[in-house]
Amino acid sequence: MIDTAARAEMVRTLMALEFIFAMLPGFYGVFYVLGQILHRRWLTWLGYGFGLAQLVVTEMMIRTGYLDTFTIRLMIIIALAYLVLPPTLWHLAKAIHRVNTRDELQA
Amino acid sequence: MAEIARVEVYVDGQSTPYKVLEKGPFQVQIDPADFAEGDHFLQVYVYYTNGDFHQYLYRFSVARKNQTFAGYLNRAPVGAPIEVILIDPSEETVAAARPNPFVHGILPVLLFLLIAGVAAWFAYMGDKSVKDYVENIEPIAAAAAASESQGEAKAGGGAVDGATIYAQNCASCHGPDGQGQGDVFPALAGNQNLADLEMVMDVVLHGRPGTAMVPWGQQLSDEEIAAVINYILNSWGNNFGTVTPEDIAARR
Amino acid sequence: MSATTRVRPKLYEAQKLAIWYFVVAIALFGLQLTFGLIAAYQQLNPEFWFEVAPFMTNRTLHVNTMVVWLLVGLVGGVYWFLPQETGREVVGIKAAKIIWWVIVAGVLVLAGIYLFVQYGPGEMSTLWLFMEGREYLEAPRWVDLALVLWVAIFLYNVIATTLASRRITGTLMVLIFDLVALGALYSAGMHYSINLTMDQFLWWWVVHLWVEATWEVLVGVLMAWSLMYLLGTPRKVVETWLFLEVALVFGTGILGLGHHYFWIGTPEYWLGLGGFFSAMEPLPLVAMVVHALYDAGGHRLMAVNKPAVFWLITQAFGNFIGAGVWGFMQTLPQINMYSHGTQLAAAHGHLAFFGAYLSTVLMLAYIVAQNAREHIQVPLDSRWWKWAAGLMIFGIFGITGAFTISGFTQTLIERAEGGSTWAAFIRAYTHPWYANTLGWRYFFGWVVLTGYLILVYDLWTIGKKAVTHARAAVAAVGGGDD
Repeated sequence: MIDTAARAEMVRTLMALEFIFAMLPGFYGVFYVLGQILHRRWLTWLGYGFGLAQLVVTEMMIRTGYLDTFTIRLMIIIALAYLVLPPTLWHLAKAIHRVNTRDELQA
Repeated sequence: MAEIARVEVYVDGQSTPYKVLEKGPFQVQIDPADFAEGDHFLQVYVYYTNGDFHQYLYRFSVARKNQTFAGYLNRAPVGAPIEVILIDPSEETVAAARPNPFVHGILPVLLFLLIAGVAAWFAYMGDKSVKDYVENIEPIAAAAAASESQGEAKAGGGAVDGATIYAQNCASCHGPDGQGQGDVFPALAGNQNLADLEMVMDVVLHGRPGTAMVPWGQQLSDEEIAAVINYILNSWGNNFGTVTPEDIAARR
Repeated sequence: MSATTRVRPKLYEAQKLAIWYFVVAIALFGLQLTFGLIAAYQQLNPEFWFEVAPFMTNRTLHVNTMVVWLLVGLVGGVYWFLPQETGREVVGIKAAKIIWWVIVAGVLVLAGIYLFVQYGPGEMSTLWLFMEGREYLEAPRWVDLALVLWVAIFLYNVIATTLASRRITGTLMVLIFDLVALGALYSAGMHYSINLTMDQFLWWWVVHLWVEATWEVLVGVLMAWSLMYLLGTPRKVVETWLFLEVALVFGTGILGLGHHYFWIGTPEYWLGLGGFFSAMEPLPLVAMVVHALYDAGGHRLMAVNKPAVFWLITQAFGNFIGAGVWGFMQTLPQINMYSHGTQLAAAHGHLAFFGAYLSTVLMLAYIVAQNAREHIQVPLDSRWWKWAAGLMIFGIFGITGAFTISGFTQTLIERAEGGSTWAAFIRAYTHPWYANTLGWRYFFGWVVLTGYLILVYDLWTIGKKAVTHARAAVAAVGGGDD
């Protein structure tokens, strides 16, 4: 049993990290998609940067030593899922539009 | 859905139609050369054989950079005039998909009953577990309480125990050993202010307005208050004297 | 750019009913803000109206009116689009009109009961006549039954109209099954048990499965129709994406219910189940953001109705930030142990409902406003909707920020460090991070109310006359206003 002040500090750290953890896939998705729409390579790379930052945040959360094995595995799985999510969704959206319209967004 | 009888296309809110179509394919040719650069609107009025009426609004933009965005084909850049499909092809073919009275009529009702039934079953089971509490756990608690009170009676009880009253009413804030908690709940152990016995009695009886200290005069009898004050005055190394129930009664 | 108007085509009866739905919804929105402001002021000055309408009453009314007006707005949206989707008048429209005015009268009587009667003797008669004693989703039995009747008639309208039109579409199918779940789940909140764990167990079915599953899907259906109306997105595109969203929302949301079962006395396996599925819950929200950006980006924001498109995009982002980020922050059991029931929950609630549902209803309100007048203005635009939207968004972020800071203080000082003792409670509530943010909340509440008043004015006047913007060019084939 850790003492209460350390526990409060741990909860604070974890909450802040979780907040960032949840925010990052959104940034990743937005910048990735903007990069694709506006044909700006650097925006897409910025998106990838947010994706990788998520892995770093995951690592930081694990390092707090407060999470149990189940949660650690869970966070790793989610982080990996969010890593592939925006490009997958983007290509899916493109495919749906291409089948149903003469969509030339990528032209 | 009925057949389409007639389609009228208006451009930019003009009163005369840009084009009227009596039969398919429901397409209209838009030539960017006919329009000024900027935004324009297509309003498509669709009349059906059964008298129904639909309206679609589309916005398109003409730019000299060879880009026209219009309606259904809203992202097709054109260098030449384009054929704009006015009605989503799936709107014409989807009539082939007919609803099934079982799948779209009876199945939803069954699903409704299933969900409501499962909820009711959970509620029933919840109440059943409450019966278990009433029938099995409460008698155990009652039996335990009965044997406890017998034990007290044997010990010649009835005497007021200051330590018990303290543990039940005071310890949650002032701590089990009178050590207090932070600035809000002052420590009682070794607190020199306790030497003022009148102050102590007043505070316990009437509380201290503006602080977390509540009055106890209504809940506890004179004997109980005297016992708990004596316990506080003479525990944890304190030695501040004693008070009597008569002193308490005098200060009420 | 030219703003053009045309004489409005005849409205279906169901669409005329839908206009009333939105009038009442927006009025109830005003009531919700009023109760919220009173509650916020009572945090600063607890003696204010303590004898008349205490904080708990105002808070319950604040939350209840919100649930009612959002639901009324969503149902009104369905009544608006249903005749267009099926190509015919709604079947049973008379019953729909009667039950609607019964519901409006019931809501007024109910508000009167909460304000003037407030509580009963605590017997079964109280449960039937006055209140069930819940914090929110609170209604006496007779109102519960009236609501079920309302949903049942609504469901009959949708199913019978679909069958009568002899046309089924993907959106209609999703709508039917979603409404079935929405109506049936409400019955779970009507049971009463003195076993508090069981009572909460079922109550969360309504609270969670409504807002995180069935409402999200209902919003998905309305979004699909709105996308077709606003941007001319092809049906196949919106339906394919809708099916994907439904799979993701139901796949993660149903068992995401577990995050309410962490610490209420339910079996331990909910810790793992709830943790896993609720961690997945932001997935569909990210998907929504990607798709909204794709569509809006592809259109360069060109649409027939500017405020509606603005709220559509706000919905995608607001849903992700409010429901996704603010929810995920406290969703792991290890955090939730200390944060549940603090002001962090209120912060999450404010931003999520604003982002996910208020934006949807306002988008629908603007679509209705465009078509409710004698003339249709294209594109619908005004000076004021930007002010209304800007003030409301600024205000809600201010409120959420204030709640978040006080929630952090409670979680850390009262719960994690102090172990929920009385001393820790006082220490947290007197901490400047808590005490000072009470004033911010109240201030930003006024900001939102200002935005609301502008919104009402804007909805009342927008599109009444053709707005002439500076024209980029005069169209060669005319461009004059009718």
